[in-house]
Amino acid sequence: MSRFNAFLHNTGERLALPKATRSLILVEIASDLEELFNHYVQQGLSEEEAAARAEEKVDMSDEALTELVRIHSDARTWTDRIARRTQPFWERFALALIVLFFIAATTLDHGMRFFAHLTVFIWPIICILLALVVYFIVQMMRFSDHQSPRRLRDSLATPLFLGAASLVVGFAGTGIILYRTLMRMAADPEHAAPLFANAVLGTTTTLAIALVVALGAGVAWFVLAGRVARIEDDVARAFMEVK
Amino acid sequence: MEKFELETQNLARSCHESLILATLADGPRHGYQLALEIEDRSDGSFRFNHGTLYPILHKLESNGFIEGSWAEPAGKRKRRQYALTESGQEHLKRMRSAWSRYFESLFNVIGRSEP
Repeated sequence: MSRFNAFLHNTGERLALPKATRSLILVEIASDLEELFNHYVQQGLSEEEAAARAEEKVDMSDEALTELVRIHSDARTWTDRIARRTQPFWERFALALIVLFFIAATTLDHGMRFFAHLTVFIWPIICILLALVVYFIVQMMRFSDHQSPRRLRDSLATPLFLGAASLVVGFAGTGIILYRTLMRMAADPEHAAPLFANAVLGTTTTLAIALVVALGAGVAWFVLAGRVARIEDDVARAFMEVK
Repeated sequence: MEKFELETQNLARSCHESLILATLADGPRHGYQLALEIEDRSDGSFRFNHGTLYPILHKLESNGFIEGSWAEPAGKRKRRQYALTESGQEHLKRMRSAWSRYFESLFNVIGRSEP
């Protein structure tokens, strides 16, 4: 960073942001400092005067720094922190849960009988699962293009949305099925018990699948968020290595 | 077009945003270019300290009105360049209308200067 080292170090010290974000901001400031320096030198100022004028022009007030920190410290900061710190553990844990669930579901109750009880609400959940799989594959392909980590990060809300949608469908479906069953039980009290048993079987299996899809969405988010964080770190490191 | 009202409590901020968006309407610029060009085009009336420029640029970017990208000219340092997005063009139009309404209202009260 040559002649502006001290200035950039001082600015960086006052930027209470994650390393990757702080590095990118400092690189932006550094390039503007250099350009301003060249501009003032071309105007006839000595190198010392030009450097001083450039620093004066780029100097950031505490208010401006606070504003920058606020802009970059939005809601996703806490999710970033979770992704960076717990990703390996949560990935393994959630993946193990999913695998165990499917093994248990398909073997303990003579295989496909578990799935025979599913309600009609399984179809939107399957659609959500397919959307999640397509999104995950597309995102993994986009990781080969490291040009815009911001764009990659902006799309990270999708798996969380899909996971939430799966839960909403699962719970709403449970409510609707139970309501309809209760109405039928009131109309036909003699068959109330089997009707209720069927409803509980159907809703719990469907809800269980919805929860697994939501869990899968969470795993997809952890994996992708971790990847984006690594790309951001790589970009920041690469930029800081310039000159 | 959706009616946009200026933040009268923070006119300077709205003014800075409008200046940046309008300058970027002519093409992508680097931060330092924006500051110098605005100063030049306004005959020195709007002098930008870069310190105030970055928060505005980053805010406009997080709102999707401008998009930043890294350019690496041969043999030169990587530089952050900003370009106006479609959403930014729409926002600029809304801001122009808002400024026109604002000044019209202002002149209605204080009157226009004699030619």
